[in-house]
Amino acid sequence: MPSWVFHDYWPWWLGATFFGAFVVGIWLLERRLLGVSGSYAAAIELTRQEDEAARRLDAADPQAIDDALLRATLEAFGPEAVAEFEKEMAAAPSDTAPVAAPRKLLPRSVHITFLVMLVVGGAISALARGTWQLRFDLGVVHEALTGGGVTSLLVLGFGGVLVGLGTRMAGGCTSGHGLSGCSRLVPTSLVSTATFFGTAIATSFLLEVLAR
Amino acid sequence: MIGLHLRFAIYGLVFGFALARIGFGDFTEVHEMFVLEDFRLILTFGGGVAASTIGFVVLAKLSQIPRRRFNPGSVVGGGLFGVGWAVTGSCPSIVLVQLGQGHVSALATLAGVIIGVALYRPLHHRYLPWELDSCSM
Repeated sequence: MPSWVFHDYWPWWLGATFFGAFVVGIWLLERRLLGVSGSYAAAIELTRQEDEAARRLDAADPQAIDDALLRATLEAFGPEAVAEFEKEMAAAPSDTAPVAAPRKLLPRSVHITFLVMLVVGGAISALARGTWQLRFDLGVVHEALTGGGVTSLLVLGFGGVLVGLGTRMAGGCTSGHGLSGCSRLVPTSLVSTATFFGTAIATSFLLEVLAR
Repeated sequence: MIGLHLRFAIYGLVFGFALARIGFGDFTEVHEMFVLEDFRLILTFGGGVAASTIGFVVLAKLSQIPRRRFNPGSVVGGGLFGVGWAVTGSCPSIVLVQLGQGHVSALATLAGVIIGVALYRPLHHRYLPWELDSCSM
């Protein structure tokens, strides 16, 4: 049996097949595109104003909205305007195709569930491989490149802020832009992915030079 | 039909497990990808993009999938994210996978990510003229 079944990291073709199956599978099952940084935004941001407004409109009774609009029209323009409008509407052929309704936003608690289960998935993998270990660094390479100890932790915190600000500003990260976007040749995702791989490669070489 | 929470719990579990099994939660592996010493992870990612393209073309009607407008932030934001990924080994999913693997120091990264996401939206609305974009599922 190959060593990657239980212990070693997966070969590239297995990981690639998984990513393809996962991204397309989520689309087919949920009609949603995988995007993890979006889940952070949904979980963390206090105001989802546009979303709240959309949800209120979604939840509202359409008949009640119609009635309110009709009342307002009667008050502003009188019954003649309404009669005229109804005559016009009856005469006009209704040839507008129904527009596909946009997916309802996932509740915040679903995003939080998804994020928490990423932790659990990582834990199960490490436990199954026998590599789970409570440790306070990211390994000797990270320690050597970032100064070690408290300095390394400060670098992690600072780098984390860049990840948070950057992915929120870009409107996507490795999953949303990288996998979901690039696979469909979406220009903004291609540009974003090329940029973050570019700056990551440049920064990594710089770390090597500085640490030497 | 099983509940929404259960379904997304399963997706999170499967994704976290696979990311860890691929080795994306291992800083050394990620760094070796970025300094072009080891091509396994970049092939995994590139192959994953190609596999998704094939899957979308064969199994889904691509025209029905919403496309996104160009967002100027995808360049500047992507640039900042790349620097952060290089020094932490973490993208937004990976920091959680690292935590699951027992890497307590990933809490520092996670605190940073949460602060970054929480700060961004008000800063954007205060200083930037374009519409803020999100990839929210």
